[in-house]
Amino acid sequence: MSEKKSSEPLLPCLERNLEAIRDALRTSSDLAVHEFNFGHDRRYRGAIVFISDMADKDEINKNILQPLMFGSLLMIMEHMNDTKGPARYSFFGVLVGAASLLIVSVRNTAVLGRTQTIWTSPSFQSIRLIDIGTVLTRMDFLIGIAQTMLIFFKCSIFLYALTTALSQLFGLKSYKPLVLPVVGIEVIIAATVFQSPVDHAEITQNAGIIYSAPLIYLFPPLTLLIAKIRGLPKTERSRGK
Amino acid sequence: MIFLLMAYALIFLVNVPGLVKRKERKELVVFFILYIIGFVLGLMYALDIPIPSPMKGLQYLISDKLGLKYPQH
Repeated sequence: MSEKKSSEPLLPCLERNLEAIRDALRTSSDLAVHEFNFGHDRRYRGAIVFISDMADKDEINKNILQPLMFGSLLMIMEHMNDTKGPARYSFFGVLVGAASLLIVSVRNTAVLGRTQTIWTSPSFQSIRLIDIGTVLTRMDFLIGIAQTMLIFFKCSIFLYALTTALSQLFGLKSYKPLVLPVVGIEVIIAATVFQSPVDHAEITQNAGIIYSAPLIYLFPPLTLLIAKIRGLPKTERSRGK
Repeated sequence: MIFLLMAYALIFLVNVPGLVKRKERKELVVFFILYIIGFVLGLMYALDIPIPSPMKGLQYLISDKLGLKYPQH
């Protein structure tokens, strides 16, 4: 290997990088290169390079490839260029999320005690009770803004999922023309589906738990099973390339 | 009512010309099915015709017909 070659940076082209690695390590017979596609519609190509005698194949499959193929967080991460950071950031993010959930539930229990089961939004109610020196009052508007933003993000993700599913079901080229009509339906349904918050709470507490149980426990494993039977996701190799 | 018509005219103008130009027939059919459902619902809402709630239907099916109920108290 010449000096010039060893100081070359990695190229944007995957094929040529792999070629360079194979070229550099052509004397070692146990170099393993595994190519795969990942992300939405399998549109991204990736490759994992390892020395097969030194690496546990099962561990690589279980901890690197399968999360790449199935990880739902990748819906967002696939749009990032940095490939090293996300694992660390998502771990940190989950940690922050868990900590904030703990803080919120401790705060609500401390402020509201047993009555927190009565309120429709315990966080809102406990922040509403904050009154520091009659200056820091009515902090509940912060919770109001935060919850509105949260609902906005939730609705956006659901809308994306629904329109994408519809467009895939009918084999459309793009989900974009469906967005506005679906929003039109959703606005009316949202305005009329429940008569009051009490009605909402009553229905979700009685029937909601029963109809959402199969959505949580039955359909995801069923989807995985069907994908397994159909041999999805198809890798580059099995497509005959 | 006027707001509804304006909103739906806007949706029409945003989506339809592009779809017709690109001759995407399947897209157009699915778009119009959703568009008409949305418009009828909007019209019913504007004219104060009661819209059947899908959640009420689900509750009726689960609690009253199937007799399933999450045990509370």
